[in-house]
Amino acid sequence: MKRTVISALLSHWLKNPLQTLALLGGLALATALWSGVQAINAEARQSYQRAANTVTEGDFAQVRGEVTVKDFVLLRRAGVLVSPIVEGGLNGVRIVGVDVLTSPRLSAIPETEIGAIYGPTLFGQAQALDQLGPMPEFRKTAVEGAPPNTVYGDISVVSDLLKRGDAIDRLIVLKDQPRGAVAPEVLGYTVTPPQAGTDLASLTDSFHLNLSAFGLLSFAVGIFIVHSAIGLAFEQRRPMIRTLRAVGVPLKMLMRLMVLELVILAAIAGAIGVLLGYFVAASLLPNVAATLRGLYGATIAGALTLSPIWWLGGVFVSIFGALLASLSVLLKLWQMPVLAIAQARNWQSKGIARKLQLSGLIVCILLAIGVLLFGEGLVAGFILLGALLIGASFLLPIYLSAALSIGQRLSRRVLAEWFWADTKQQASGLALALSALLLAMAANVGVATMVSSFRVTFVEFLDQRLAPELYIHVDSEDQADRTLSFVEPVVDAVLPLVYQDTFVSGVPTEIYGAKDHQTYPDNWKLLEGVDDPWGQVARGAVLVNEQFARRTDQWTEDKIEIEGRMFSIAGVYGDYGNPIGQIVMTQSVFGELYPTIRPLRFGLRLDPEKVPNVAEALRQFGLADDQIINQAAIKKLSKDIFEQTFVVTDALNVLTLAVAGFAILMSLLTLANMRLPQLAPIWALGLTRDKLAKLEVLRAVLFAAITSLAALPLGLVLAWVLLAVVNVEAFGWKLPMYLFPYDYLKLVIEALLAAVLASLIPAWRLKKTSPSQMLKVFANER
Amino acid sequence: MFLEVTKLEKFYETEATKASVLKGVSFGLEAGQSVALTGESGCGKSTLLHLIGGLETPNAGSIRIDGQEIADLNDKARAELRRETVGVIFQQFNLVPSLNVRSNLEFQGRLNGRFNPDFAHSLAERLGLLEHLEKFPDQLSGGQQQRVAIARTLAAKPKLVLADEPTGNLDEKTASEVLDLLLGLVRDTGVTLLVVTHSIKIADQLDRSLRLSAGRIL
Repeated sequence: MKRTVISALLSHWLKNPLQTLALLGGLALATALWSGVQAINAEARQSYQRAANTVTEGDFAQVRGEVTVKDFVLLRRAGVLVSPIVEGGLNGVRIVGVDVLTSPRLSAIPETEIGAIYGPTLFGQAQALDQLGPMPEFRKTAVEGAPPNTVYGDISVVSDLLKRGDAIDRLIVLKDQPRGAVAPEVLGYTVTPPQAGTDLASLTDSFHLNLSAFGLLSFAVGIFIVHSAIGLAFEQRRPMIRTLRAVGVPLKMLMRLMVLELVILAAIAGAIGVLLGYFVAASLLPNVAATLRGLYGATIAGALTLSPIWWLGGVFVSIFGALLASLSVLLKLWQMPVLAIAQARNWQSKGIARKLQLSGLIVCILLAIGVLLFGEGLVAGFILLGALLIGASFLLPIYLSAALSIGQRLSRRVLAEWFWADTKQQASGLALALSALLLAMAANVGVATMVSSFRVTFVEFLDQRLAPELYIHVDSEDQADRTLSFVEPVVDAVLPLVYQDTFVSGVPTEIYGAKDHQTYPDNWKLLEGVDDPWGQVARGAVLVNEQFARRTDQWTEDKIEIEGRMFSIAGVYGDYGNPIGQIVMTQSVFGELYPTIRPLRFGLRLDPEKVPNVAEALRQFGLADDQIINQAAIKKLSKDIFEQTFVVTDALNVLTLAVAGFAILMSLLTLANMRLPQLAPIWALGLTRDKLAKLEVLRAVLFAAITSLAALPLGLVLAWVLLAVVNVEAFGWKLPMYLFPYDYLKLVIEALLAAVLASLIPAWRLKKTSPSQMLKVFANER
Repeated sequence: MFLEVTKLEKFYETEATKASVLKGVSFGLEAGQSVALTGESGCGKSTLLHLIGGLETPNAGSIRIDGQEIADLNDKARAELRRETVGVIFQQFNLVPSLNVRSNLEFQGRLNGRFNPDFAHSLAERLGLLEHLEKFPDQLSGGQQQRVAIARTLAAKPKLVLADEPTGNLDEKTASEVLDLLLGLVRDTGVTLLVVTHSIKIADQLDRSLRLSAGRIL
């Protein structure tokens, strides 16, 4: 009996290939986007894990400042285990020279290869070694566990390569020091703690959370399609189900077999979906890598290695989604008396649906208010987003009905009146697909606003913070003195850049010493501050960045203790992209706190037209190319990185919109057959099929337009939550929100275009419907 | 002759078969006449009605309504014919489900610009529809829906009314009431009427009767 029943159930899908396509396509697309995003996340996390297991010189405390070989010898004689480091860059690759005899074990240099280091040999990931270009005089050894974009070699080899002579940059302080060894600080050295505040995993968690939210949203859009397909299939199979029940198939068995049928279909769709997801992930991963590199400096591999669990997980998600989407239909079937099954939905059930929508809407509103008032943390932010999106999809049918009623009331001509009334009647059948479009568009607006606000803020921030026309850095105090005496007469001002890493109020903080110069008040925009903040700074106050202010909850006019001295906060500045706290004070106060630290980097203010000549003069004076940085070049590099940044979210935006377009197409196609009884009377009364088809396209555009009107404000609220709630929780700073009407207009046009495309096939089919097909409506032959 | 049908042929072709429904049908109707078209099921009555109403196109022959040849009209012109000249009443009522009774009643008349509110009101009153004007089709009984369909057709003031088994879906009592109303209104408005019916009782109430058998008028 089971075989007979299941073949009867499956015959529906064979007889209705369009519905089968909607169900399988919806599930496959949903699974594809979900599993694709998960694949990217998993791959990125694996990369972080590999990075976390990598030991680099940054994992140790370091003696910084003006360090020479003499200092190295002095400290070793004092019993302190330190190891010298030379560092530089070549072809965009960081090159680190270490002394293997005194250095702690580093992941980049395998134990077995230590002997070969004097070869001379360079160690690093294959990609970084390749990027260095041809170097026949060196042996290159690829090491999988090496940190990305970094190459290691013996200190003498690297010094030669970088033409650094005997200079060293800093000393690593080993973790296990012999008993009785003095601390370097006692000897007057400045020791910075191991890299802190740059926990890549926690920083990029936010990015992945965003991606996951996107994946989940796409999955939700797909589930809307599936729900719609299953609902329609159920409606059409009512007579068959009644017959099956009437001939004695037990309800429990029927339910079990319908679930089995769904599981089979969902497993097929899931398998297709994970395959598609693999291609989505593979095509997006290079951009994800670029985004993460641009944002956080985190490098992830650009290729996919996926586990069997991922594949199985995708299929499981598909099955789960299908069962979730069919839950209401199965429950309805469970509760229905045998004879009622064949009756079509009536007004009463529409009333119940409306009540359910209202109840859902109220729950979502209460949840959102609750989270806004009492919620904290990233999860609360995402609950708020979820409540907004789900609440909006509950509100959509009510809003559509109201908007179409207004249209109907305003219409004067009979055809227009019918058009609005008919559109209103069709709205319930398209509600799920339009909800999918609403969610996709709102997410698009939200993310586009967030990303573009980020971009505008970042570019403005670059303009503020990179005010000097040229930057130079020197290797020693002697070189600094000589360079300054050369350069000071030919530029308008020299702004020394000096900083020290330390802890203030318990958080890792960079202390900057800034010269009292008009450049700062002219260019730095503060988020808040006292009157004449830079004047206050000149009198001994400090400015703090937003990250510091938020983490320590210390704002303007609060007092903070730095190195045992109390300072008043004169203002708070935006410091986008910096993961740790920062404090700016005058150079003189900085000098009092850190007398041993002398500036080796300088910003030069000069007429922009003179930049090439001054740069050339500095080269003639003896500075290497990499010691002179043109501000315009930095800005261009930063902006280029930003252009790459978020490419992935753009791509996901397009994909999500495409899925929503698919939802509309499938709904229109499945509804097309049911539309005939509504359209045939109008045709019989004197409208051509061509005109009816055009009106069908217009109707789809109208639906998309009305949905767009709702999606825009929803998207902006979404953006506000992302910028003012989620971003603060994830990154520690609040981004100003900008509006981008042109982008929104473009999105609306895209959505209208998607609606036109989705309606073209059903409209074309209507246009080609033969009069005899139309006439069957009146002859009760359908 | 107001309606003149000459050697009309219609067949339906599939890849394997060709089914001739009308095989050279010819007849004529004077203006203001009411005529019954009878015949066995499947003899082509509805097809003939659909061809005259511009709902389908013939394979051969001629149909002239008020002097105008309609057999070779294109889709747009046939739509205009349905809108302006012909009113069709179907067995299945063919009301617009998304519009209420009032809008359904006014629909075709407003579409062809001949809508007269007083005339429409009097039709609604005569057909007992005044209390149902704000209801939707699915809130009406079959008899009420057919009355709306009749009112809508007549409110558009067509020259020719084609009725395809207008009482076929109604019980005997309702069918009789609806038919009486239809015939009364047709007489009062002077419109030409062609009714497809199986019922001899209905045929007896009309001016003339045509019998179609095996695709030919007997």
